[in-house]
Amino acid sequence: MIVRRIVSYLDDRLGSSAFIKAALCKVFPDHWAFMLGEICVYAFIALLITGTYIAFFFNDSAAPVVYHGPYASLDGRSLPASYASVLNFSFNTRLGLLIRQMHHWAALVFVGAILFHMMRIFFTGAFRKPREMNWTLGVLLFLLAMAEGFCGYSLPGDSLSGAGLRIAYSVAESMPFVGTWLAFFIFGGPFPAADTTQRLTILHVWIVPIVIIGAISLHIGMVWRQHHTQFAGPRRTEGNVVGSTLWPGYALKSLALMSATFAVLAFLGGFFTINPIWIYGPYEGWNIASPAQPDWYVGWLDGALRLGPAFALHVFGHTVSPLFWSGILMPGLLFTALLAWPEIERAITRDNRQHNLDDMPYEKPWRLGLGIAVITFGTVLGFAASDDIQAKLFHVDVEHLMVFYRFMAVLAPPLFGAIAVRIGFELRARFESAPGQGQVRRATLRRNAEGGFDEERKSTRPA
Amino acid sequence: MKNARARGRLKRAARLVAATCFALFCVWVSTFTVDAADEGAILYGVHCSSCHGTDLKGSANVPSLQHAGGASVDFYLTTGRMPLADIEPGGTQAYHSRPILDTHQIAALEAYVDANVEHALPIPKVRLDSSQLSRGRQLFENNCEACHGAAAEGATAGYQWTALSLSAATPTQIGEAIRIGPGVMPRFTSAQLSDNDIGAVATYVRYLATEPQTYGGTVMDYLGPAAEGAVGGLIGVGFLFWVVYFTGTKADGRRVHERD
Repeated sequence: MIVRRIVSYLDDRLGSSAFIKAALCKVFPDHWAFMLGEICVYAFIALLITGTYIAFFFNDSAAPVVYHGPYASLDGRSLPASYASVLNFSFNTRLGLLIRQMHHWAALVFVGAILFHMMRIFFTGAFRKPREMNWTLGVLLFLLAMAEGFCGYSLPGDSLSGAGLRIAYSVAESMPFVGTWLAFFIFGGPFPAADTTQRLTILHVWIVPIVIIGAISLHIGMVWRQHHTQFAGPRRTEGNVVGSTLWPGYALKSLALMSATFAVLAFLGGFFTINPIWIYGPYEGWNIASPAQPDWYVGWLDGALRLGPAFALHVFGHTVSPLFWSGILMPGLLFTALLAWPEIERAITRDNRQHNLDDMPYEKPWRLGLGIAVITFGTVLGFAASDDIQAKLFHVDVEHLMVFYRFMAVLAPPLFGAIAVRIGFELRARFESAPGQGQVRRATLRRNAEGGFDEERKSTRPA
Repeated sequence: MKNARARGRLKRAARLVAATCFALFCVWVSTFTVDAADEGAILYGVHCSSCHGTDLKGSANVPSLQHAGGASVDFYLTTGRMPLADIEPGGTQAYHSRPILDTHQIAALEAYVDANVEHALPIPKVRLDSSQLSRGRQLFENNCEACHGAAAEGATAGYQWTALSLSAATPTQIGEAIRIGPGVMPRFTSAQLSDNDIGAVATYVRYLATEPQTYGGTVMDYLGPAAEGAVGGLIGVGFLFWVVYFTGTKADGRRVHERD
């Protein structure tokens, strides 16, 4: 009754019923892999909610204050105001530590879900015409998420993140010709500059989140406008979408996923300590503890710095520092290729048609192999970033591990890529010889008169 | 048969004399005392000399003890690093384990080594003082955490060497290690860290060991962001994968929407 009145009130003034009807009847494909992107949205909503609460209590000043509080081993010590405010938030504010930990876990899950979402889009070819712009926007969102995470990780002014900022400063400095000015511009002076925390706060709390909100809206708006892709199947054509309508089917499914996301973040925040800044202590330029890593999504860059060649170039009286190759050049090339991938693939395949039906990953073995190679490369770099921890846990020399990872970074991507290409071709041949488009899930072996075996294939989906 | 009885009596007398003599001998032997220096020499001969040499000067792969003294002896023996359990050529690190010698024997060896080396280093007196906790933490951050880790949990120190966890170290062992610098650890003289400073550092290290800083859940052995990434991936993203896998495909609505 009340709903009816509200709806008719709105419809009389906005004429919204037609839109709402279209929206509620919008069809979403029923495949689990299409929900990975939604995990990102819900993790991001969790980030906004928890982050707002943290922002009420965070002090963005690096000015020293004398800490007096329940944390005994820092009592009476002069600390940066930002660090002291995070200590107070963790130990003196109601729900503070839980909210802080949920915020940090949400960041890890957010970027992780982005990565898996990207893999789904890449391996199924969902980025092809007409969706190239959305792929590029998605890669930009991935970059923004990493930048947002790194800024947030650096805000508390603890020893571990201070070391990370020191590295980021040096990487910025390694940019040829403009490095010093670039570093000054970003950090507000020679490291450690007094303004850095304030600049990072503006970036982390205002600029980057607002850009992310805008980009996500655009991202989802484009999906809405262009409709989802779908896997090939019965009744599914390039011209339709088969699945459940938004209301009541898909919306409830999606709300369940939102609840699950918040639940697992609360579970992690309640039972697993993340970023115990009280142990790390305040950042002081002369101190760093071992072992040290950044959060996982920056870990591959740390690993690249550890493995990269210690090779400086001197050109025209300028020095190109060794950090440039693995800190700027490698990720720069990688992300340029990622941003431009739809165009690159089009240039290779000369395929200019519209694609609303997705590939199964094995249907394009070369794309599958390339993707696996890039993922392998990133994984090796990510593992290399914790080589000091592995050295301690497994009683091996960290130097030997580094040599091992150097070989792996060069050898493993082509090896795993080649294996994936081979598997792709095998599967493709197998499914092309099978009638119907459904996946073969069962095979019956029947012994024949000669003593050999014949295979009978059965499709789980009726053709 | 008088003869036979006499022989029997004689036999018994001889046995009695023999038993008495043995008893007296035992009493005499039991009155032997070994003074501490002699006991030290004997223990040194049994447990140490095969590697460090009878002259305490070591050899090609074995360190000389000429600059060691009581602090070193006490540190290496009470932490069970010495005598080496597995003697490997090439000088791998001596890891701590259960001490083989008791405190009395260790004291005897200390006396022996102190008496026979050029520069004896005495065992530092380490006083814990809870009012020094904050200062101890600052000193620990400045001097120790680069190798031992922010929570004194230990970390790799490069080339087969490990900076060990300090959770089991006693205050005296902490002071001894600071003064003698076992393995690749640098030694800190009293000009660098005074006895008071050592007391403050030991206070903080014992505080870390006895009052675990595990606020907000399990700290995952202080493995830091690497472990956090693994947990976030396996539990966080893994659980959500499970959720979408079991809700995403099951309800196949089969509504058809023609594209615009």
